[in-house]
Amino acid sequence: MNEQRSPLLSVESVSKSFDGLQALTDVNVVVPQGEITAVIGPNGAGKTTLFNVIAGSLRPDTGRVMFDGGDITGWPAHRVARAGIGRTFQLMKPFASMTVNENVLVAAFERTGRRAEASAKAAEIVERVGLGTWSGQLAGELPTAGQKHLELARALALEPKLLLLDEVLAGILPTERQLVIDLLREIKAAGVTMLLVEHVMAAVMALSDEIVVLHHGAVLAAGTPEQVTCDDRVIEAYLGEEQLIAEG
Amino acid sequence: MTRVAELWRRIDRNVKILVVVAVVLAVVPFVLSGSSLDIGVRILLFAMLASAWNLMAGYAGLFSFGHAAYFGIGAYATAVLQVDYGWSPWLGMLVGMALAGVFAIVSGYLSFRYRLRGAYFVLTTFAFAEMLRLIFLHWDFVNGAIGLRVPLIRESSWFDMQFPPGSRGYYYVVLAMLLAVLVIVVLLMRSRSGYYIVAIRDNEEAAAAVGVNPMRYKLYAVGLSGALTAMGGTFYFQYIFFIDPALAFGPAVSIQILLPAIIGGMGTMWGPLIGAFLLVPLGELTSGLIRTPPEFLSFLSGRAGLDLMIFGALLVAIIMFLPKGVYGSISDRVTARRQRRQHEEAVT
Repeated sequence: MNEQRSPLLSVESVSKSFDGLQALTDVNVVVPQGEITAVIGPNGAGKTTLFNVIAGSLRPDTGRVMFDGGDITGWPAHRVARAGIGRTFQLMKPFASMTVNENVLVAAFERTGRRAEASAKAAEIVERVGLGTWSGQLAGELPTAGQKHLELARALALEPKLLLLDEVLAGILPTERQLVIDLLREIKAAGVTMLLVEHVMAAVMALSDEIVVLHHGAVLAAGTPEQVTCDDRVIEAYLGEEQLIAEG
Repeated sequence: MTRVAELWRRIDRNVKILVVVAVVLAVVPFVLSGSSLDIGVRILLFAMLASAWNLMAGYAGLFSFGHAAYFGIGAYATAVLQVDYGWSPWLGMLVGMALAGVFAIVSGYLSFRYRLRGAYFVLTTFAFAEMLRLIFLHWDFVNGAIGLRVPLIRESSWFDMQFPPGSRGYYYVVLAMLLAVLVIVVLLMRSRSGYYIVAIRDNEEAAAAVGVNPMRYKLYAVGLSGALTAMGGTFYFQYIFFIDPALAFGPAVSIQILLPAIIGGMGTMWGPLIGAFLLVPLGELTSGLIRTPPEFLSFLSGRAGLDLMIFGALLVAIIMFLPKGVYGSISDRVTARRQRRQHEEAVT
């Protein structure tokens, strides 16, 4: 079903090791245009490394990253961002000395040099992610959940074609998760493709069109949520482990 | 009249302060004269140099312990062109600014390219200044250790940036330079480039993730800071009529440039200016006290270096009790209070 859609991003046979430790081994991931793809896997499976390879913070040892018809392998992070890939960081990285609005303004400046226009857009996005009441506060003083929202707001202001979301739901109260899930659906409806790393399985199931399972740095399985959850290897290697622990 | 008032209300707060500061400082020479005018000139010179340093160290977060390099390049470029070729110091100033800007960008590029951070970056800036000092010390073309002297023309001339003793000329030249630097800082920090520079300081990785090229904007800040610092070097040579490698490139110069900004508040608009207003008179006071102490302090007389110790102790006290500088600490408190109120209003 998904094969007809052209991929916006494809990671092709990417490997990466750190000082002999193999973080990614021959990883292939295809992110179809307009869909939400989730990467799941236990801690240390290589999810964040994969993100950093795509976003340009890390150069892969082998393989290549194709985005929107071009090869972006090894591009520096700022060029990848300008090409249309926005990202959030798992450990939040606010511009701590600036207000919430100004944080988003920096990103909005990427699309327009006019200050008034960029400010208006930043204020609108801050409102949209639910940070309206915090707009004039210093970003460094926001609570964790607020900083998570700010990460998302900044990435959105870039007007990306592809959003890389690294655990945007971690640290957010279960009662507030639905708001973020709804927001991500809205963003998808606006035509933005997403690749997300997430531990909150309920959200992964609710949002994803495709799921890629990483295990020990290699792709264990990929497919629709139904396919993946029925896959014996996945149950054994990942879900099964948790079940055994839960039952044991 | 109401239209003027309306216009005034819409102007940025820092621009308003700048206009008021400019008017007040322009009137000062009609009140002061003689040696107090000299103190005024030094205050403005170091306010200007510290503001230029603040651009790189405060806003861009690239702490420099070697701004003497840019200062010295400005002083020597003017001196050589004036003494050997008869150029106007104004032209020499432009050449010096260009050379210092290029030197700052090249040395900055090397540091960033090889990822020197923190203490290593600071030491590199120091090393570059020392390197220039040693080169000039042994370079016959610039008269080596002997240095260069301003050719005296014995008349007041704006073209030659030379005025008779007691004239207000020097004061207005350095005031114009200070205002130029402040205007550049105000405009830059409101612009896209200014936001990028601060974003990179706050978090380089996050800035790159929204499309900001960190290398480009760090070099922008460094180059501009270097060029503006060179302007002060030009003025210094014209004002004291003399330059040699130690006066141009010595570590003492780097320290004098950075202290007002640290005392006043790094990364703030008005910190360097306030710092210079506190430090320069304080320095005059302590050194004057040692030269001619009052009766009850007569044991101080002739103890060279003691003034520097008093000075140092005062600095330690200021840094201990106002770690973000005089202006920085106060403005932080005001901002925090305003934000708390705004947030409470927004929530209710």
